[in-house]
Amino acid sequence: MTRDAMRPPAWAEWVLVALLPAERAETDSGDLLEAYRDEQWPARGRAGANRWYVRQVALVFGHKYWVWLVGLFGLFVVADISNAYRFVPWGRPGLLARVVPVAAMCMVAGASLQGGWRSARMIGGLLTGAATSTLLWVFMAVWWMTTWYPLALVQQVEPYWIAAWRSSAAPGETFMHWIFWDNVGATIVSGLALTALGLALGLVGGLAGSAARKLSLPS
Amino acid sequence: MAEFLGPFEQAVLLAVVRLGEGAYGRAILRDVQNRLKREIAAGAVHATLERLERKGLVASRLGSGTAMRDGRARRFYTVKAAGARALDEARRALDQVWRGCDRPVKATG
Repeated sequence: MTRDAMRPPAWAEWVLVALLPAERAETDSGDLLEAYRDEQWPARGRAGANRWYVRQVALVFGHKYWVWLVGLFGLFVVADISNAYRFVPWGRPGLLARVVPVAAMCMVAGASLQGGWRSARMIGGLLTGAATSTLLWVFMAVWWMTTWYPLALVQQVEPYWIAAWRSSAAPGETFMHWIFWDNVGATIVSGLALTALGLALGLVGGLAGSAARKLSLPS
Repeated sequence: MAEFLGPFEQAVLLAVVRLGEGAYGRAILRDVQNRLKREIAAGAVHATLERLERKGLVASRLGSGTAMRDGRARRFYTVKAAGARALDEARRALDQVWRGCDRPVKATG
């Protein structure tokens, strides 16, 4: 096997370089390529070495942006549980429904801004925005699929949810069946919305972050 | 007042000391893995080196690449005076904590 043939997936290399700080992209990606060829390929073969490489790229993302992810996941959990219990903070109905999406958008935009700043490239911010919103979607899907039943036990005695079920359920449809498919629908709609949002905010954050970084760098 | 160093930062800094002239990202990663006897994400070492450089504990310079890395440059690190002081302080604090105890530690209850 020639050295040139020992190459990690092109997309993973591209993502890695887009995520790394501009001034370290060449050296850090070189370290990973060297480890891939010198150590991982001989020990694990092509498939194992590729898996290792992709995991390293994911960890580069995780190391730098985990704070945003924890914030987004936490926000979503608080919002979902509050929604199930129909919690009304400070006696102001609808406050959570207005505040949570704005806070989530700010977090995705913040991550994108950091990505654009760090990489000094728009694509770094775009990728970060898309990745944070996609990971939030995955988390939402897993959360809803694992908590729908215990939360449905709470929801089935709440007047708000009973009224929602009566107004939108098919004739003869049980509350549990309705709430399950309501969650599935919400997962799909949220996923599409989050993808679009992540790309849009990523683009804006990436442009702003990279422009600010370029202005701050010595010419 | 020396900079406080976490255990992983100490491991990375000590790898730079041990490797001397040959302290670049991949070699540091391998040294830390061998010492800690577990797999370490390359990103963790790179992020730590980046942070240590920002704190003024290490300095870096670019060196030539090799064919194994498609000619991509290597970043070589050296420990600065502040880094050496921080390592000494970390070791002194650990020695102080261990004073009066033998290894292996025996249960007391």
